[in-house]
Amino acid sequence: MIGTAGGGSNGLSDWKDSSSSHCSLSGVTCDEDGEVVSLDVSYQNLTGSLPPEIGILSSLVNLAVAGNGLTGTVPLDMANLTSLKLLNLSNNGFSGEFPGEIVRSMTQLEVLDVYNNNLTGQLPDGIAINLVNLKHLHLGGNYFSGEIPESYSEFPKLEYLALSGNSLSGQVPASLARLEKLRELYLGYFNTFSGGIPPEFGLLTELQVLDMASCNLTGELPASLGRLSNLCGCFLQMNHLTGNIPTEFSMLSDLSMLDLSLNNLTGGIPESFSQLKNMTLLNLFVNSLGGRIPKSMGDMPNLRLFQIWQNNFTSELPENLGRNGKLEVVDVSFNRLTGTVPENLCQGMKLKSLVLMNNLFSGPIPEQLGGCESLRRIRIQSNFLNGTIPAGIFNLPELTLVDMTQNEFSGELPKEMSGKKLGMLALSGNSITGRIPAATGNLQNLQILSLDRNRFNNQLPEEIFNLRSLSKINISGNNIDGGIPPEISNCTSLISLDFSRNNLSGEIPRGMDQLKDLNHLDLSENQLTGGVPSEMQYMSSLTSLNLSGNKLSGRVPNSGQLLMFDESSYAGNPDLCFSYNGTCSSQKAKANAIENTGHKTTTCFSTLKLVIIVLSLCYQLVQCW
Amino acid sequence: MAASALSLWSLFFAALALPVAFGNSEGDALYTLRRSLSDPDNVLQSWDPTLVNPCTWFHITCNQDNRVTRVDLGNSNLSGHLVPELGKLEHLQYLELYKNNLHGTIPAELGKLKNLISLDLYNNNITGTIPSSLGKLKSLVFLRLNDNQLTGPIPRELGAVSSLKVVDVSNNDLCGTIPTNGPFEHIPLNKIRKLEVYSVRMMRK
Repeated sequence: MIGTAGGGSNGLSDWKDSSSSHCSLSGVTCDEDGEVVSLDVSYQNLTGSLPPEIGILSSLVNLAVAGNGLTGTVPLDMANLTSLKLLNLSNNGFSGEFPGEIVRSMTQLEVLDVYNNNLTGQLPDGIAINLVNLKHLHLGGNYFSGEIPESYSEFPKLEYLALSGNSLSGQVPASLARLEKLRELYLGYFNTFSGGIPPEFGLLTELQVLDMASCNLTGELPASLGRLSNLCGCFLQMNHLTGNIPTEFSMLSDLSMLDLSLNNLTGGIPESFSQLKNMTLLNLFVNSLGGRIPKSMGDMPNLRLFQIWQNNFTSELPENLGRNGKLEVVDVSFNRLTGTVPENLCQGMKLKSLVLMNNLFSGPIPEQLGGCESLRRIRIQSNFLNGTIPAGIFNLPELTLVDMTQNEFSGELPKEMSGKKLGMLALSGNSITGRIPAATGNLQNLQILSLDRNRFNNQLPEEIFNLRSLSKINISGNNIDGGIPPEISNCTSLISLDFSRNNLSGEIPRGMDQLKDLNHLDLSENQLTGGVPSEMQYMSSLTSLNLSGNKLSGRVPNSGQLLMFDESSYAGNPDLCFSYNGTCSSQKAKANAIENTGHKTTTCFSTLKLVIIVLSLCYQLVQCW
Repeated sequence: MAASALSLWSLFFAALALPVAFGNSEGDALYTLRRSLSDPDNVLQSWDPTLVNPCTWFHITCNQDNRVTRVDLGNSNLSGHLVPELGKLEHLQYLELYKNNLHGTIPAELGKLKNLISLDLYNNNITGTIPSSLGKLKSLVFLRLNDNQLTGPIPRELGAVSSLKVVDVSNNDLCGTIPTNGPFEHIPLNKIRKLEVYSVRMMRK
């Protein structure tokens, strides 16, 4: 049989030895009469198809060929396997329809698993009446179409039913509520049902997992689901459900995970939700929910993930949120929440993600968050938060992203910063004062530094430019004075640099052409003097240049990359002159373009031409067709 | 309770997360790129497909509407190949993949990037031809494909891209004739002496 199935390299090397008894082969178990009762060749890299000869093994109780590359159809001869209790064909490439007739005689069957194949056609019908012992039925992850047969309500012992990840349509039969022993029901993902969740599902009192996510459901959440006292996981996200969250859901005492996100739900979170003592995950994001967040939710003892973003919630966050010591993710962004940030969000040192952006929060960031060593992401932009940013935040060992843009933070940044993993530090649009700390240069993995539109003063620390990974720096719109440190040319990962609207003086440093990847350079609205360094013509990555509004003088080099930029890049520098319009001759300017003798001179071009560089290895004009 | 089944399911759930139905197609497209790349320096570590959009991924820039405008992965020690899904990034302006070890071909789907200003694939090991669909990139200003192993002709269709200012296709295995239409019109051909020689570099103002 292995010969017909083909083989890859697998653990069935002893199958090649035809002299040994079949009962001693790997994966084969026989009874005392030498009949094969169990055949398990799962995950053995087998290819080819399942041969009809499999039907010869009529004593088989277990047949598992999961996780191979088997293709072709399910052989009808399998109908002979009337003793089967377990049939596992999952994770292969079986195609065609699933012949329901083969299982009709498998009255002992307890597990039927064809998950993740390429089966098509209708779901096998008329099988429930025979499969009186079936406990586990997984037909998910195929391409079955049509409706769920009403007869699927007739499996007397069914505990697990998965039809998810197919192309099923029609209404979800309410009669499935007759599956009294059902513990897990998966109908979601890629199916497109019409209608909604049958209220009758409230009768499935043994149900522990209900997953009908992303299958086009409409209508409201049935209040009757509140009777599912054993329900642990309820996944109804990514549908078109409307109406309110029934208060009856508060009776789901075993409920650990509730995901109603990405629907059109309205109304509020029931006050009694705090009764859900076992709740660990609450996803309500992207709905039209509103109203207050019940204060008592702060007392939920097991809440770990709290994601209610993009709704219309108002009022404050519960003061006690986080006191349970288990909080890991808080995302309440894009609501209309007010009040202060609760102090104890990180009490258990488990908080990884704090996302409060686009709300109306006020007051300071609690100092305790400066010691929250588990934090990875802080996104609190677009609020009304004030005070000084706790110094500890800049030292947190796991923090990768900080965005506090557009708030009312004031005070100074700390002199010590050691956040090794910090990749993005965005503090734009606040009222932070003082010097930009030299310690910013210690943030070894910093890629993005946005300090624009604050009240930073004093000089730029050259230590910033030691940052090997820094690709984007924006300090525009501050009161920074002094010169641009020449160390800037060491910062070779820079792609975007904006120092505009400050009080920078001195000259544009030499060596800017070492910034080989620099795309965007804005030094406008400063007090820079001196000339435009000629080596800037070699900055072939530069696509955007703004030197306007300074006190630059001399001739603008009219070659290389600088030909890309017109007068607007240089406006507001009365002492700058341009070769092409003859303004240089009327200048009593001193030495013009600062020549760097290390580079060869380039000739100037005055007319419109296109840059094109072609190298062909052909020795003549080669025809390509 | 079926604790083990539940935690297994939440793993499935976490892996499946939002993408398909929520329209995070740009994140999906970029994640498809990630899966086809080899990334020894872990520059793509922040590319988390369970996030609602790719706008907080490093090396990605988005606009106000959370649409990707820049992919900045030049000089990042990447190998692997490009994917056609890149064509789904409709608002992309800058595709910077230069100085890596990329192989494979330039997907024709890049011609769908109507807002592309800069296409920098230079200094890689890219083979195949320059897709004529690049002639549909009506906003393209910078096209740098130099230092690869591209074959075939320079598509005539590029002459329809009047915004082009810089075209660099040097150090490839191209053949055929240089287009003379549109932005290519004013190249003084008398300055091109031999086709095997590095030709003149001129700038368009």
